[in-house]
Amino acid sequence: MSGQTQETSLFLRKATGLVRSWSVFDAFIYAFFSINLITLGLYSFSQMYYFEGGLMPTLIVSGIFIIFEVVVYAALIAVMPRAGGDYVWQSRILGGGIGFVLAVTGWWFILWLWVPLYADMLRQLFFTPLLGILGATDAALWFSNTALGLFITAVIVCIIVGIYIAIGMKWYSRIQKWCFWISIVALAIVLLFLLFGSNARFQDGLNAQAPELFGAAENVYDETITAGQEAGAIAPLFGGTLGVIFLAIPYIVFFNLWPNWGATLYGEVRGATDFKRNFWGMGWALIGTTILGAVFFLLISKTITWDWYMNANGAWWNYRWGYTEQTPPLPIWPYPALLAVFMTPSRILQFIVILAMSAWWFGWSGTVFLSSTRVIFAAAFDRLLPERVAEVDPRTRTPIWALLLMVIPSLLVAALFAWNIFDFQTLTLCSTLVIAVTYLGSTIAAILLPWIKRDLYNASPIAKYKILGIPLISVAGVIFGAFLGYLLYQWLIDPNGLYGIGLSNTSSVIYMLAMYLLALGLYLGFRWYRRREGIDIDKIYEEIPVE
Amino acid sequence: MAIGGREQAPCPLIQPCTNWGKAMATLANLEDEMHRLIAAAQQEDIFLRVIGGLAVKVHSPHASHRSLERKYPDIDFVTDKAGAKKLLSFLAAMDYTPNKTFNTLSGDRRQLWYDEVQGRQIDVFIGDFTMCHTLPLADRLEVEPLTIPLAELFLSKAQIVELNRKDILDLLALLLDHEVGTGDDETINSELISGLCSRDWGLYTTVSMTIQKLRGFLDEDQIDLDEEEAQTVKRRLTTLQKAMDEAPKTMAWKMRARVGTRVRWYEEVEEVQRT
Repeated sequence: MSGQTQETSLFLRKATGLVRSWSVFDAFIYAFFSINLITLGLYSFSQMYYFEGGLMPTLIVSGIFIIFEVVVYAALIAVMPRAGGDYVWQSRILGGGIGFVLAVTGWWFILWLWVPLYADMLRQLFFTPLLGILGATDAALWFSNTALGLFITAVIVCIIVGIYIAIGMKWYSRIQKWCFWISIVALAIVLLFLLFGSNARFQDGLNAQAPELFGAAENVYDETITAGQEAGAIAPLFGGTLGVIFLAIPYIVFFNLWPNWGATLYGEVRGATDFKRNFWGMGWALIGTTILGAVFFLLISKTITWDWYMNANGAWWNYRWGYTEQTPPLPIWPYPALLAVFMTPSRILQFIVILAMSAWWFGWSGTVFLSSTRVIFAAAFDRLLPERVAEVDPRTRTPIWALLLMVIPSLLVAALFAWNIFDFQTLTLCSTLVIAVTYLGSTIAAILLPWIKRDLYNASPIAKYKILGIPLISVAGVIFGAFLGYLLYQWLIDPNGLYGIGLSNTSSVIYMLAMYLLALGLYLGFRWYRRREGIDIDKIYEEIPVE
Repeated sequence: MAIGGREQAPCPLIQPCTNWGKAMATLANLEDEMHRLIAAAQQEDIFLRVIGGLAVKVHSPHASHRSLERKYPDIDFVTDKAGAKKLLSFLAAMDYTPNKTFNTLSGDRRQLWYDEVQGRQIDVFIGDFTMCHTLPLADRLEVEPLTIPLAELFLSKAQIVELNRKDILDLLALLLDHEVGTGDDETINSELISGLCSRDWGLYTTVSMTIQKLRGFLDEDQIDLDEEEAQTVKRRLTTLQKAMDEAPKTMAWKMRARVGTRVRWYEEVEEVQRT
């Protein structure tokens, strides 16, 4: 600690010190949940049934590249730990227009699309399996398979997340912590089921219970294999050339590109100027999740068998995506935790395990709006949005306007998604693409930081980290930037027709263009409005915002 | 005036402020301003109590002793959750400007406000005082009319792991002017302090370390107190440490004590960058 005097170990703190809301451990949990193995992970793995690259090497190789993202963001946070993260960095390094447009699209507008995705995961992880176990088969299938079921779940998501925002960072961190420990214990139980179970026992359990609880076809195990093969389920666990593994990466990053998701919150994290702490907070989340994912894969392969799991995924998504009207033999999303507990006949145990596993969703769900509110606040503090959107109701401590700006468009998008209007269900990966564009902006800002903001960089704790004399932040930025460039090429050009959100998808192009135009319009409009008020936005961007 | 079932104690120490009710402009003298704010808050049914160096000065004549005198750059207040809901309109009416960024993000626990005319700031803690350790304050705001109670005032300084010179001077002033014993009436309530410390090993450890540092400070003659004054402070420190040591400890305290200082026992505190 600087400022220590001699003699009696006195310090030179100027005023009453501040204890920020979150510890590094809270930030770690947020990062851990942001690359959520059970929600995002299982959701994306299940959709990858048609890829030729092995999911295990895809998981590991993508994780290696994402480590460079962690370096870039840990460094940016250490230099400028401010609420608003990407928005503040980009607007101060690259300029206000770029910063505003990229940040509000990637941290605000595109989150509207994430709401129905969070809802889809909630119904498949929570409502459907629990209602089925309770014997309410029709209700379970209504949630699982109807557009209204999805929309109602999206409304529930908005309510839950609204409550999370209202209770504040301190309480949210407590809920996160409880969910973290519950989810770890629950996953350990599921892994034990898979470890000590056998394929024969799984087959017996599935064939006996899936028809009873969910109205599955008789002999659902074998029927699922047939349906999956017809759907073209081929994704292996291991193997595949480097080329096909790299083709699978743009899909798997839907799950693991987000260890930095807390970046906009680091103004509220203790010790955020410590690069190493930031790095390990996010890094352990990525490493731990990758290891857990690998173990989960191996145990699924051992007991459920990888081929059956991928066939079940193929059968389900082939139906959901409208390639067949034939209901799959297992008429619900093949949730591995549910598949594992089919190996016990105890309904109580099944219910408890699935309920506990839902902590993976509940501990994570705040991420859909929480990070976004900080970007909205930061833009409002800069006068690029009305001051009112950064106001917090003094009685409830709720940022009502910021929440409304998230919730109302989210419900509109959720309706479009639920009823698949304008092919909105094909836009799933847009949710990742738009954020990746924002990350690319921050990555370019990181690469240029040592030259554009020389004094700020030299005074920062990361100035000492260099590789062959080149700043570490720039080296990591170039590697991660190249990775993002590759992802964007694959998504947009999509030469192999694998992702469905590229230039060939009109809905995708219009949706993304509309968002960028809306952001640009807001920027130009408020810039003009503030100038009329005598406020020079450019002057604001010359200053680093106060904490 | 009843607030949440509690009565605000009358404020014999509050000095009449002719400005209140007419003009909201802040006062140049910090102590006058403190009185103005507390009196106005009382009229608005807000429990607003001073914490920090200025609170020590209210209670301790020795705070003006040539050796213990120091500057008071700002005012720190505490209020409860009910008071916090009224702060926005109250402090704005008292001619203060909020730190919007800070208050938006952390305003449920602490708020920063600026007196732009006088170039000063005030910090308002909500409910608890959180620094290296957390001190619950909301339920005892009615004990004193102007400040938080002496025991909590002592702890608000003694719970600091990285003490600065001003903290030491404040603690010495408090100990010189107040006996350590039971009760709150111009007494540092050892029962309350030992009660809090017997539930929280971390707080116990930091306060014990602070007591050691104060002794060292006196032994090294880093402060110009006469022998009798120094002995008075040492005696009171001994009384307090004894009370803390003898208080029965909880199971959680004992278990945490086994881990010891190998694991950090306090929260990290940072400086806030201000405008």
